[in-house]
Amino acid sequence: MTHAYLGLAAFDVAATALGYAILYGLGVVRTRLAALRSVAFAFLTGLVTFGVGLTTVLSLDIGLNWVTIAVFSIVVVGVSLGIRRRFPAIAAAPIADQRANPLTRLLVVGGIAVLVLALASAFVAAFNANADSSYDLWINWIVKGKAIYYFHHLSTGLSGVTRYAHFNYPLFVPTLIATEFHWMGGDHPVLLPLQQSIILIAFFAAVASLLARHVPRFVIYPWLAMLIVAPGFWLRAIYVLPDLTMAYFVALAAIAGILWIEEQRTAWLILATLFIAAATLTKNEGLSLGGLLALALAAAAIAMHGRRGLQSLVLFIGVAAIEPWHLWLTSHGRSTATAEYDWHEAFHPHYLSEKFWRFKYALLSMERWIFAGDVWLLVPPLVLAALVIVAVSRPALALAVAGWLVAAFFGIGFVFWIGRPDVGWYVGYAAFRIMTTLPIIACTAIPLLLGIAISQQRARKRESAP
Amino acid sequence: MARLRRFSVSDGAVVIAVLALIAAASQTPVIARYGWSHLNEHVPSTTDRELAAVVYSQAPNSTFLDAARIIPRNALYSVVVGEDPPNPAGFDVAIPGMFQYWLLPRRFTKNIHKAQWVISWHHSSETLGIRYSEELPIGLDVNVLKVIP
Repeated sequence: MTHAYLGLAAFDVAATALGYAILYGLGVVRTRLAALRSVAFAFLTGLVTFGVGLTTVLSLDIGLNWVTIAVFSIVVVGVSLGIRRRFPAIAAAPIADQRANPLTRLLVVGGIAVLVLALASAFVAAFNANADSSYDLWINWIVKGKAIYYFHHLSTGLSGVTRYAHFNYPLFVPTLIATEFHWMGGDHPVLLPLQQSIILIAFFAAVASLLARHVPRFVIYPWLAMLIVAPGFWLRAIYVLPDLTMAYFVALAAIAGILWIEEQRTAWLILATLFIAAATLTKNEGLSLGGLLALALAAAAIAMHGRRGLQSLVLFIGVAAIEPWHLWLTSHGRSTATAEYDWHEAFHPHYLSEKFWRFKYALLSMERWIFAGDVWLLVPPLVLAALVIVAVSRPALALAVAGWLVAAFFGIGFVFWIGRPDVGWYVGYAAFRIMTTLPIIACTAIPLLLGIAISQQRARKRESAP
Repeated sequence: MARLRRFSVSDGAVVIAVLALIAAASQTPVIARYGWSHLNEHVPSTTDRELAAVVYSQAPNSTFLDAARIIPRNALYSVVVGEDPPNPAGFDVAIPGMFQYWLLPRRFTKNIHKAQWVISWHHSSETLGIRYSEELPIGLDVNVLKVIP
């Protein structure tokens, strides 16, 4: 079994190397200091590049094996090196803290302590964890990963990927699992919680390093600490189910998108698009939540930068990343429509009025859950307070994030409105897992807006000083 | 009023951060206990940890291990779920699903007349409507049948 652990470690190193190549090409990492700070972000960038790229490769009916993985990696590294002259270096993140006082120092140390404790606990639990027994995993996600690993291709034949539940769900997670199995030298689902804990650690480290460009550490760490220990998050921290993974990708897309709006460096726009593509290919909800994010970021960019903001339309390429998979399905005579709901029902007023009670039920359940103090602690009130503060100095960005949160909340509710399964079961089974994305975005994107607002106020003070 | 006007974004961020840290700190005993308990727990064998994925079947691990040992990796197999004795609700879907998860790369077919091997779960082998050369028990009321083509 040691070989499987070593194989997983080798895969993570390879993903990090691939991520470094991309970040180098885009100018994000050009110094040793930037490389050191960006190790977690490089890992996640490499991971999503493997996931998005190899899912697309499979959708083109090219087999997944060592040759494909090697050729794909070489192409990505080659392209990254080739574009490096077009992307000047982005200055290494300045530490946004200025006047530290005992209180802000306490906030930094306390926040880091809680965060490290939680991440270490999650890692220890995951290291010896059993294979995740969640129903959706053995009937859908992991079994598809095994099918891709063993048969190398997407197939409609016996035991092929379309023979399992939710056959038309996007394949980012099964493809990534199959790739990891190749590196492990066998199918070992028992290691997937461990990999999930590594992704968890990487996510929090990556967010902290990205936010450090603009946000004082006394803001970053208490927010991240509150997020990770909130029971609504913590109880799912090492689940292999892809809901949190999708949420991480949407959050990183939001952060990169906001950095692009603030700094106007194309590298951030490309990275935001890459993470939207990853979210889109991870879950059906990733398509709608990623699409909403692209819309919110584009609106803010156009409001703040006029015609230059139109570049943000590139973000929709991320949403279009689903198309190769949909084309594969239709070319193999399979439907792209999900069995749980049909978007066409949204245009049938009679159907909608008849099922309106489902919407009310879903919204009330979701509202109770999201505002429950024993689920999300103080996240909702602090998010509201922070948005009010940010709205004064950065109204477009505050409106974009708030608009995304509200639209996502009602959008998720709408799915339960037009959905077919029993609404009580459906909401209990799916809503809360999907909804976890909202606090994750709130606790990562809003501190960034706070940091930007603080920087802006400090700059104004400096300008007005005699 | 003048004091209120001097209230900066940074002050607001500090107040929010203090509340966030208090909320986070309130959970640390739970998190610490969770981590500590896992640090000191007995870790089962890797096989048992892998088989935890199919714990829902309520079958002993040997049922899945024996099925994988008996049915060749390149074989075509089927699973028939009966009600003798009765199963918990949902087993008609879950049991074939769990075997599909566990037995890959063996290929699964719903059509038992095309299968080379059949797993009969709580189902009398004699009433399956197939001819078989071997019947190997892999659990209580669970058998693997080698089908005669």
